Amino acid sequence: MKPFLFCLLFPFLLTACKDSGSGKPKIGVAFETLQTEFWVAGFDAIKKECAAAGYEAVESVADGDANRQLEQVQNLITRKVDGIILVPKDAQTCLPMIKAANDAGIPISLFNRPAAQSEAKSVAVVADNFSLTKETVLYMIGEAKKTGQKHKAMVIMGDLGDMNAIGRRDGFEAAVKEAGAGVVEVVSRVPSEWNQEKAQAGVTNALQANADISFIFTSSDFLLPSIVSALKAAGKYHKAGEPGHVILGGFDGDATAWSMLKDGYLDATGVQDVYFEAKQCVQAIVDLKAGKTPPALIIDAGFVIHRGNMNDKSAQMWGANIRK
Amino acid sequence: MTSPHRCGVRTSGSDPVSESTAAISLKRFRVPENLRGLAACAVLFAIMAATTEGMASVENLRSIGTAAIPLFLLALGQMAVIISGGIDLSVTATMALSSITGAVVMRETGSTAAGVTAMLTVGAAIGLINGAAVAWLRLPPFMVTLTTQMFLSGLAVWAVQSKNIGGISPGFVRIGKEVGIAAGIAVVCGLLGHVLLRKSVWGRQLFATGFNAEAARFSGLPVPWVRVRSYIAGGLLAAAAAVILTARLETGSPVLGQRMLLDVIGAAVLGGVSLHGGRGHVLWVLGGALFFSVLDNALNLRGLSHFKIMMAKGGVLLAAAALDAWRSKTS
Amino acid sequence: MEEQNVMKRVFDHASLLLLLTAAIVFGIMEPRFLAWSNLTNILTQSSSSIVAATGMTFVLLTAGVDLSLGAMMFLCAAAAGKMALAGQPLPACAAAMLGCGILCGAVNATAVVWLRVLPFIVTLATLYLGRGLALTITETRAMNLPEAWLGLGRPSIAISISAAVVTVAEITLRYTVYGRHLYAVGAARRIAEYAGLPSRRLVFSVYVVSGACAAIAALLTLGQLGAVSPKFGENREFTAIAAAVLGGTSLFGGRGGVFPGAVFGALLMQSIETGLVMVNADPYLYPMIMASVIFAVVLLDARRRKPGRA
Repeated sequence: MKPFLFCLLFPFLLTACKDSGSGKPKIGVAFETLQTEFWVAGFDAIKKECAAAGYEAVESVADGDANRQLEQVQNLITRKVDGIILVPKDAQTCLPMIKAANDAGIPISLFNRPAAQSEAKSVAVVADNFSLTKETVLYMIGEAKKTGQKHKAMVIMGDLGDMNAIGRRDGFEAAVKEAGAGVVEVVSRVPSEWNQEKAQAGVTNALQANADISFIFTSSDFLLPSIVSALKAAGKYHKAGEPGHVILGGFDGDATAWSMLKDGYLDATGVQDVYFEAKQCVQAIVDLKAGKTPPALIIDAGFVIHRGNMNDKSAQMWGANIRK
Repeated sequence: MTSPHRCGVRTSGSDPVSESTAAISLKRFRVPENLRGLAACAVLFAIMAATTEGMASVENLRSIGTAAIPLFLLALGQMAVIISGGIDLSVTATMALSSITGAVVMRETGSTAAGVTAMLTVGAAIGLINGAAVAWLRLPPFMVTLTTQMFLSGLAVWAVQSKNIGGISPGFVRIGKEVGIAAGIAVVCGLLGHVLLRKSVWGRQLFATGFNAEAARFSGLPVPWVRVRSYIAGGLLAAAAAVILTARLETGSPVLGQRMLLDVIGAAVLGGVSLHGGRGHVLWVLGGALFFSVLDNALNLRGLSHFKIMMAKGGVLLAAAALDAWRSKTS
Repeated sequence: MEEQNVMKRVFDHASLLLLLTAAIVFGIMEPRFLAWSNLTNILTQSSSSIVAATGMTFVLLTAGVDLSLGAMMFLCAAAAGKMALAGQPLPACAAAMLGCGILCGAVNATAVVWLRVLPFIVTLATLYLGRGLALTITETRAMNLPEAWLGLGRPSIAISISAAVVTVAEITLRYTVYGRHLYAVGAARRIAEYAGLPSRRLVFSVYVVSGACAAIAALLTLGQLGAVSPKFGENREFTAIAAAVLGGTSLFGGRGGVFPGAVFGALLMQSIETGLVMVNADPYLYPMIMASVIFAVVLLDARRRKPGRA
């Protein structure tokens, strides 16, 4: 540790830094993660909406750490941004961030994940993970009933530390409990930790234990490539209608899901309407600045896209509309 | 950490005779070396403040403080373990487990004191387990703490079934709200740590053990017990950091600080704590933790993405270590 | 005396013993665990870990450590993914990966050998640098690779690649002068230097080997996944170290080996993971069971050596 070393380092550090000083009003966009296409698509959509509303988006990503996110939000407040759009890690840990923004008088909206009940004021634009998953799985169970056979089912769960993943797991279990009796038996629950390697290995292993699994739900579409590779290895990757088709469902509605749906491999996926959510988040900031009070909770109903409705609904599915 | 028990084959360090005890070698460098890290922080801060909008504002100083304090406590605990010749990879799991334990206790009893006591107890207990496995079962610290890290973080998530624990008592939340309280905790821990390391019998035994365990044993020091206490100190400090972080989030989280491990070890090493064991100082760790926090904060204010910040941290760490090695070779 | 010998032989292969125990326990709970197809499956899935653990073993033998393994894997995969999406053929991408791995290894080696920084610190720093760089390259987006890549994940190919790596490594360590020198440098570097061994070149080489192994491990993982995600290779350094240590390699250098050591270590971890999925165990228990097994092996390993130096 010698000061002079750091003097040497500064030119390097400074050249590596870009300073954002365009003079436009700024909206701070604090994402918890950009790990999947869904978040990237949401991020892009928010930036576009910000630009359309005359704002510059200031980015920060917390990489899954709630405390780091709190620091980043405080940094945004220090920079005196005009509004904050937050993607919290979970419902509880975002409360201090919202309170900090409230105290500084900066309007704040939440993208895709809600906050727990409290006196802190924010506008949350959320998809209902539980209901949308339940709806998707109910559709899948309907497809399963049509085959007239019993199905062994597998669910690929997300990170057990992530409440969105838990909401989807619970939605799956609720749907199976409600309509699955006699049709669907859950024989395998694979924890993926939101990690493709774990998902791939888990699916392969589950197929070893139960070669006759014919019903798979994944808690996020970004794990679909791993599932496809495991299914291919087991010789079980067939289009709907072909013998041996595995009823496959997902959540998010990304580009992979869209192409699989088009090709007939995927039966259904629960689509969150990224464009709607992004627009509402930015609109909420604009409204709050103008002194209006938008509702505290804006629900993105989302929709289940499946072969029956895919031509009507594809315009709303973000995965069908992003560059690949 | 690669060869804590084998001081004879270390490549750094000059003449073994003149370094026969840590105290002598430290006395020689004490005044300049201990303040170097802090000086580097000041230089970094001055330059960043001159070139970055909002860097020197009161609110921003406060946010640097909030980031640096838990990191300092964690790195301080890590240093105690590293001086003994070990390493503690389980600090984040310790934080997570003590966070949910404290939150549950507070939700049930509503008492802040009970919650804090429970959290510190968990930290100390985990430290005791780690220390016992290292000192009495004589297992490699890296493997022991790697397995306790896996086990305890799994346990934390399982115990609460992924849920966050709310309903924390308002008195506790104040610890997180007011930077003064957190700073007070950090100052007390820092001073206490300094006194323990420099003035107490345990401190001298700790340096001797880390410097040359074999020699310490032959001189009749209770080497295993000295080691165990260093892990307990590490656990307690991790719990103290968990108190601040939990209070700040107003939530007991089973994944608290999940990604802080590398920053903690990085801050200790950047400050100049030797992974060979036997060398360390409270001010070095303070310098390391502050430097990381200032760097992180400044680059963040400049709008750099977190992975560019990661690269900057890696570069600084490597450069500082290389310079340190180069100095000890030429001096 | 007799009893002691038996105990010694049992303890000598703690990971083998636990592997058999795991096979029996899971086999009773779920007979299909022992089916031929599942055994191939375990071999295929662990092929990448085996290669990674092989590289790590080389580093550990010299009393070093390579924490940047997962970051190197991610960097190689990110580079290959970019090339593949730009339409480059698979062999070109694979060659680029290997080159990238060797280059990363050389960077680590340079810092360890020429700048004389501790391996732990060097590779901690390059972990930050590597992951940051790879995230910059991928812009944190997931990349789905062309169909051809999945061909690499076929059991026959994956198993033969890892078997080839293990064979070469084992022969090198056991039957060449280079291999014996590595053990000597790891066991007592000063003494080896006095004996005239080129310790700097030897230490340099192990980080390059580790980089190359990271590239091959990344290739095998890509063959299984067909995609690069921002979490690619995360924490793989810890699994590789655990696998090597499970196989009896010492963190303090000079003791251990690739076969049966690292191979069985990696197989043990994969078998447990596979077994837990097959018996449909509570997902929350996975990390705790895995940690307990690793701890048990480390403990057995230490008991075995107790009379000697720690």
